[in-house]
Amino acid sequence: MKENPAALAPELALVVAAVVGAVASGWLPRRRQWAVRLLAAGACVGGLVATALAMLGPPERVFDGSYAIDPATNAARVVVLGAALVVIGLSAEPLRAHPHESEFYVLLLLASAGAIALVGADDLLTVFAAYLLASVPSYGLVGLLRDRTGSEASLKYYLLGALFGIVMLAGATVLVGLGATSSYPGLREALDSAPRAAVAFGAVCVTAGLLFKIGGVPAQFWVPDAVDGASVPAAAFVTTIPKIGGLGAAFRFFTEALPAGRVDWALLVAVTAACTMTLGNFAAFAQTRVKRLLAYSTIGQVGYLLMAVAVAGRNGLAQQALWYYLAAYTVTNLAAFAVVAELPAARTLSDYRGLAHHRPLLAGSLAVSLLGLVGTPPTALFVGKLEIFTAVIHGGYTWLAVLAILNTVASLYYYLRWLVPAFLHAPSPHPAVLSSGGTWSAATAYAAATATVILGVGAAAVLPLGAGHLLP
Amino acid sequence: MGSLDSYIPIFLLIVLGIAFAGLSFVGSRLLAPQRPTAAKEAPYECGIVPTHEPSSRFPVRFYLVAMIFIIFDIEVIFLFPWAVVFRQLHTFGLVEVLVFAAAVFVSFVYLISNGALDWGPIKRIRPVATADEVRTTASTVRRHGSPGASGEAA
Amino acid sequence: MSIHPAVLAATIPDSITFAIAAAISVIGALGVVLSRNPVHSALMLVMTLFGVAVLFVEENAQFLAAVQVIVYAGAIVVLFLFVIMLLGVDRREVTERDPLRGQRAVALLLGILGLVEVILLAGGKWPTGAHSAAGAINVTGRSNVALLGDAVFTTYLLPFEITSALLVIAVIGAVVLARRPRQAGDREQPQIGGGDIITADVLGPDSLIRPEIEEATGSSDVHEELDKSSFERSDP
Repeated sequence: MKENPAALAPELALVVAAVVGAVASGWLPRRRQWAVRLLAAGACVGGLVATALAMLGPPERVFDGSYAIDPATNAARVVVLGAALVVIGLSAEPLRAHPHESEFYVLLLLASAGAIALVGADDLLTVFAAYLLASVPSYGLVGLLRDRTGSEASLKYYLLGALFGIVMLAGATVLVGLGATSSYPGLREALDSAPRAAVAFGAVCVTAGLLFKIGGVPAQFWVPDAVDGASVPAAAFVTTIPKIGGLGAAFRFFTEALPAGRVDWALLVAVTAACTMTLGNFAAFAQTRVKRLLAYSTIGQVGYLLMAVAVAGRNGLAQQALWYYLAAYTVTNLAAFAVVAELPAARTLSDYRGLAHHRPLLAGSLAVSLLGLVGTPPTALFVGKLEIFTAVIHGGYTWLAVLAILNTVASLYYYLRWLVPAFLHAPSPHPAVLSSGGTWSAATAYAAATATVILGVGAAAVLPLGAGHLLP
Repeated sequence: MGSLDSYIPIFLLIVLGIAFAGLSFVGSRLLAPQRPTAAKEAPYECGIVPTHEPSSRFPVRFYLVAMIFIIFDIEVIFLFPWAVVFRQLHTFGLVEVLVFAAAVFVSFVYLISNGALDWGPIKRIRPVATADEVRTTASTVRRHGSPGASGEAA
Repeated sequence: MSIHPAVLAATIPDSITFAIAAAISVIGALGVVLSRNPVHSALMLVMTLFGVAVLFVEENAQFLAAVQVIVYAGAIVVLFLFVIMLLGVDRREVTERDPLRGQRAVALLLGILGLVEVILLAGGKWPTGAHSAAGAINVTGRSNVALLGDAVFTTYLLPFEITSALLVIAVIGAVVLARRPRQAGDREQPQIGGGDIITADVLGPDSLIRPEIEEATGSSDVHEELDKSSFERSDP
């Protein structure tokens, strides 16, 4: 048995900080809850340092082989911790002095730890525990403000999460029953001789649970409601961090737990990816509320990300493409949400009329993030899309790549519906709509938009970080 | 399997329980004289005649307490298999269960510090009159033994 | 398929227990669905859970049986009852019209499909004479609870510790979602628990009265006044 808690330092940093924050929250006066925010940010920075140290060491399995610390886990740690830092940055003002401000950061830290654990888990039971660890705090985060829309969103999110959690657990039960073990390497060996239909059933059920985390078809129903109903920080959180965990877990599950050639999961994921991106992009056309539009846009993005999962294991490109795209998507999406957090009164696309006139820098950040989501050259997602399309074409799914390119072109339309009023239309007669939310959210928006461009320009240096073999 | 033999006492207990309840009903039906009157049929033979149904809704706080009970219930359940294998696990088992117990403790501290387990009216609270002088506790709440109270009562 | 007479003889008590427990579970489950009164449904659920607990015992899963009774029948059904009380028992569900068109037909179809699937899968192994694909769990002769303890505290240590984090989250989530948010100014003075009842029901709107910690003496006096005021207000 190899129990080495030090190997889990980044995850432990998050959990310990969350526990300390929970205890402190009872005694901190309402206006001094920024201390918990500081603690949370400190835990993320500490986790990043620990990850950097872990990257130098060799990959290993800990906790009786149920948790793998390899390039994918380390990449997940970097992306999740970075995303958590950005979310903390943009939530400083919207939540300041809220009665449950401390709890927001506590739940955020625990959900982030769950997202990382999803990627690292090398065992079906650990994956399910991590699924819960990533999901349960999210329900609380969405309903934290306890307004009407937030409560409704939280309930919908919770009910769907419970349903897909049961489906996932049923699938895991079938697979464990067939393989007499729950560890991925053991399953890979044992499932080779198991009945094909039963393996397919189990694999599909486990995939369904992970699709809920990711927000892919057919488990995407919660995304628009949860994003539209929740506060901006919670919306920014649920559209990024759980997806990182879910996609990483799906990648590992398909490549490590399922025997090659036994079940054609790749086709299933490819079809899911095609449906997800098409549905997300076309449903976004009709949206007029910015948060709903961003929600459908994230569904579209998940479609592109699932393409990389579809060709997992076929070539070395898929893994590095997935992690680079995830990092790029995370920072770009959070930049867009930071702009939304900076303009709390602007809820519809038309509210953004004349933004360039009032706040040229902020309008610039919005343009960078939205054009980044389309995949315009200097930004990170351009490189990410190139990587994914290359991996998919090499993997033999040319039709999927063609569909994704068509989708990308179509997506330009709804992003421009947002940008054109902001830049070309005359300023709105009610300038109060564009009143500022505060310095922190503005700074986060500028920083994230800048990071999008830097990540794109410096792609050559960043890309190899996501590569490297998973533990066999 | 054959392991079911050890459950015979439980089975007997269930049978006894059902038999006791059934026999009590049958016995009272057979032995008691049956002369009903309107007063005897009433839900309460003594006391005030109820004028309306009591409110059937509970405050959400009850739910919170039940929820917290389940959480601690589950935590206790985990200690049972631990106790069985404790001797094989030695210090290692002790450490891991201490980590687990720390989590229990933290949630308990959190509950108490947030006042989730406090019931009833708050102690140590003083209503303070604000700028609005029309309706405050000073004017609406009758003070204990104050001259105004007795004057109103008279 | 045919069963050897000796096997049949050995399993007769088990079969009888199974039949009774299964009947109890199914009757309870039907009762949950068919009862008009939600409280009766919840009590029927206890019956189902008890039947399942007996089935667990029969499968040599004593620990699961205990958990089933203590946690599910004991605690979770109580939680259900609280929810029913919270929503009001008097509220009648309109069952004449489906919220979704054709809901019942689809449900029936899916149910039949599921049943057919189960029967097909059970196939030739109907009297449960087949071995599980995973093999027998209890090969070492140790008790079920000890094996479970071994698994939870060594192989599945990480999920176990994640569970402890989950329980903390559940506590925080319950407080965040179920408790009324502290009123303005409340957190300036921590330790005022239960402020929700007073500020909402007795003291009235926030603009009139601001709760403040009583520093001076005579706090018991104030307590009495508040109690009185709650009586007086509820009168009209």
